[in-house]
Amino acid sequence: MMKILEDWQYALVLLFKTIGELRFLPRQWGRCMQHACNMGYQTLPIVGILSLFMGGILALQTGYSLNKVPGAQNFLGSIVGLSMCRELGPLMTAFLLTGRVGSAITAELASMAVYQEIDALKTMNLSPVRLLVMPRLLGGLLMMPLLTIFSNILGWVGGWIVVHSVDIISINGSIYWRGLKKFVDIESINDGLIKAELFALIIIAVSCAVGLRTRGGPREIGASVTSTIVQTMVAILTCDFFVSKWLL
Amino acid sequence: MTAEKQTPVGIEAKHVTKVFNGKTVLKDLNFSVKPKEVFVLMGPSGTGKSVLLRLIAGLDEVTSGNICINGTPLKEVKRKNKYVLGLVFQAGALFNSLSIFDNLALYFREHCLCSEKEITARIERVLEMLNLKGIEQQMPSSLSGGMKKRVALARGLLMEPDVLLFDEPTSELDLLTASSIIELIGSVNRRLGITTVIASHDILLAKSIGHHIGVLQNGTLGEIYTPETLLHADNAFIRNFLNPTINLDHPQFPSFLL
Ligand SMILES: Nc1ncnc2c1ncn2[C@@H]1O[C@H](COP(=O)(O)OP(=O)(O)OP(=O)(O)O)[C@@H](O)[C@H]1O
Ligand SMILES: [Mg+2]
Repeated sequence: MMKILEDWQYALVLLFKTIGELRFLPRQWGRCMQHACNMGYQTLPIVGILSLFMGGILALQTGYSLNKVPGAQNFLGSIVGLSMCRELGPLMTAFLLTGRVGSAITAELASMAVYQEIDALKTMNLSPVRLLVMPRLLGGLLMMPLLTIFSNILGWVGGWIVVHSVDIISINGSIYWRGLKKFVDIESINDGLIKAELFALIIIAVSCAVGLRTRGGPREIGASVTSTIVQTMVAILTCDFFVSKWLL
Repeated sequence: MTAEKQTPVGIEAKHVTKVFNGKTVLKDLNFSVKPKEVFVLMGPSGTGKSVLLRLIAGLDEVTSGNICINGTPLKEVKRKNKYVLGLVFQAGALFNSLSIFDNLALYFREHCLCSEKEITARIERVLEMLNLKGIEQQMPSSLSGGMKKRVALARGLLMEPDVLLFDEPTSELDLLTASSIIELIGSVNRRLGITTVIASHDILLAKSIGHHIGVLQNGTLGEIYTPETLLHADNAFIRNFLNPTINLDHPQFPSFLL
């Protein structure tokens, strides 16, 4: 428990230090883009697949429940549209980013710490925050909104496929899209993106902090990766609740 | 060549003590390394040589006591970045995600010290000196232990720091390579006047390039020797350390091992 609090404290320290290092951004821009592309490349396919199914399942379940109320299925588009962009899109992207990117960051930085590469950087008067944390953080912040938008769109498409092809849902595709367009406004999408950026900040800061604080040997690297995943998942959901309440 | 050299750097350790979770590794060490000289730290495995080097490099903090660079406590000097320090780690500590060339170039690139063309020229020169030509594009994981060690050495030498710390520069190497590395360290010290601290068990190294030699024993540092006085030291521990006898007739192991 103590260790988790220390990890969090260090994550905050890293965020502040990153702000301090922003003046070196021009030199690190290449690294930022490289990390952003990597993250996108790694997460895009799985975000796509999962969002498609998430939208589909959402349409199926709500469509089935609303079957009993005449006319209620007309709201299917708005339900799927809003849930995806306000909640499920950002949340699912964040979870996938944790699994694919956060864990990889922790593993990489932890092994650098354990094998004294971080110490080597320090003796060379090179800041680990500037070279390792800042590019990952900015890469994540750049990629997250794109991934989230992608997730939203595929979720909507998933819903549409179900509406179109499942018999118990009596409305047709055009009613679905009309409902979706009517209720999903820029503000809802923006709220989702704000949350997504916050999640990305949490994921990358925590995974960097846990990685850099790793001491010991290979065993501890594994333990750190697990710890990152658990910590960020809890943090994301907690943050999600309070931010959603504030944004609504 | 790179940054203009400030006054040569001397190191002083006063009452340095280091405790790890209740275990005292270094006990009240006092020694000084004069500017431009080579100080060799000897001692059996596990006596805290690496720990002491990390303290001097500022990577760990002393439990009590003080380490001064040119009379200023380490903490203050570090904050002002007044001197360049190179540490060659025992296991190399190369950046595993970068190729050998990028490993060696990182310091110059990030500090914007010289042009890409000059970096290449320098790296080629130092790799040639260390007999490592042709490995520029390889990754560290594809090198042998001794090669990694030499690349780490190259990285330290390329920086041309004010203080160079070596952790076991000649272990894992055959005698011929080891002696060429000793030569290299010695001549770099002579040519550039870099203050050098070497942790090593290598008596050849201590004899040939050490100006002063300290022997760590159970976390304490006794007398400081010169190469001549070390060989004729009348301390039984040191004589045994330098010239261990192997006695198969009266082994020190319990019988179940035999
Ligand atoms: N981070 C640490 N935490 C706890 N104990 C440590 C730590 N680092 C070193 N030690 C202890 O300090 C002692 C000295 O270790 P050190 O690595 O300095 O030995 P050494 O003299 O360099 O040995 P070798 O010649 O084998 O490299 C060892 O007993 C080790 O257990
Ligand atoms: Mg050692």
